[in-house]
Amino acid sequence: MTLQIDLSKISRVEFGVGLKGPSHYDFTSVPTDSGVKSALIEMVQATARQVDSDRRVPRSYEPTEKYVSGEYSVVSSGDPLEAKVREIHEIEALPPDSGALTDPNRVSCYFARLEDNHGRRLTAIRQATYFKGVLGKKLLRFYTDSLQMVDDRVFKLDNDFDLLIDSDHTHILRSRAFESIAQLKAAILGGVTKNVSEIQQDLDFVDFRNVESYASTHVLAAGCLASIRQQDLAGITPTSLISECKRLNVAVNPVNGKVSVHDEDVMNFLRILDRRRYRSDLVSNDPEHFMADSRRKI
Amino acid sequence: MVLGSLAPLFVLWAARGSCVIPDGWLWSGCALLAAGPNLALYFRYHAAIKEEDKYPITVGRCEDHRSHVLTYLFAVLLPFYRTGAESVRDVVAMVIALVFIVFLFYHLRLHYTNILFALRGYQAFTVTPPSSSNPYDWQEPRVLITYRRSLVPGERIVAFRLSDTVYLEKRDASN
Repeated sequence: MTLQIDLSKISRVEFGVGLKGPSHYDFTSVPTDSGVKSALIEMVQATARQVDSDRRVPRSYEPTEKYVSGEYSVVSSGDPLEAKVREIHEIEALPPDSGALTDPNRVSCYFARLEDNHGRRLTAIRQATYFKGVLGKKLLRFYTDSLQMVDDRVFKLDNDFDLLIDSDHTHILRSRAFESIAQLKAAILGGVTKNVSEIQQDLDFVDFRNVESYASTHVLAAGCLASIRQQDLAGITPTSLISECKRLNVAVNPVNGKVSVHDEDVMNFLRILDRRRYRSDLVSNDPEHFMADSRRKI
Repeated sequence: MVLGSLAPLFVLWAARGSCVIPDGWLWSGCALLAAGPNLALYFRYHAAIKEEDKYPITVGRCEDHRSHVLTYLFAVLLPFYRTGAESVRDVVAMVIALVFIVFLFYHLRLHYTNILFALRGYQAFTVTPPSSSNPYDWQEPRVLITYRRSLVPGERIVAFRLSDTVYLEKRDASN
């Protein structure tokens, strides 16, 4: 997928860090020299090559899907899942803080904000695990004719970024980093009511009250709802749903004309809707039930 | 930047002379105080250009600081122009007054009233960004030193950072 920026015509590069507070994050700008700016552009270009090299239509990110490191997925701009990272991208002016790195333990991520000569902006974010990984290490340098200890505080840039955010999408290369930086748990739990409301529009024959109640306090269930919202639900009929639940041993009952699931089967019900619970009849008379952490429609 | 903005005062002292301080010492000290901070500012300016240390400033509200030049003239230059350093006590009093003025300039963030900028045709504005619903947006006012005669609300200007609160828009910088 093509990024919405011309990386050959970058007019401005800004480096910043995300600092973890007791209950919130702060994002500040840290002054850098031209060498660091060049290195940041190289990191973005290396990341962009991974994004551009995947000629297939990228997969939409699903909270319940298990991704391997480097597996590319996207979230469209405006999706509640990417609200927090979109806020970082849309900061107009970062407060400068030359002393932001004096307490490296607070640094949770670092990022580069690039602008091309058409005013288009790209934000590239990376978790700071390796950035501060060399702190406290015994580093040496060769100076004049001998090896010396490096006394300065040294940080390390990675080879690429975890996320790229442009005007249209958040491009994810490492889903765990995205989940951490986007504070996904809070976003998923906060989106339960909205997701249920959207799902209900296609599945108005299902009683979601106990599902919503359960998902409001269970992240996995809330994540399922966020994934289900992206699935094709329009073709599901009451008959097909009840039949599939029966086939996969999930207890559902009609209550007041609506399909209602038992409290203890809420997660299994959600996994059916999310296409993660399936059955194999390969062995005669011994149906096997599976749960797929990762699945791809073919 | 505060000492740099007081350069005309040090030039004035050097020109007036003193009965207490020998000319050699007085001129050397005043030259150091006038030129040193401005040289540091000059190198900082060139470092910002070399390192592409530039940031966008969006104009929400802006205040023109031409009136501050009058404050500078009446608060700093004229009183010291009328005062002579005829005795040791006079010199001590002037130094103490200078310390207070430096503190006031720093506290009130008036350190951008530098005559060198004015000589080059630059003007200073205090720019407050438009209010933003983004919790991470920096909403503090900043000083923008620019060749423009006026700023339009909503305008986005890319300027070089002289300090965390003072930015300079170079005459031929591309935005």
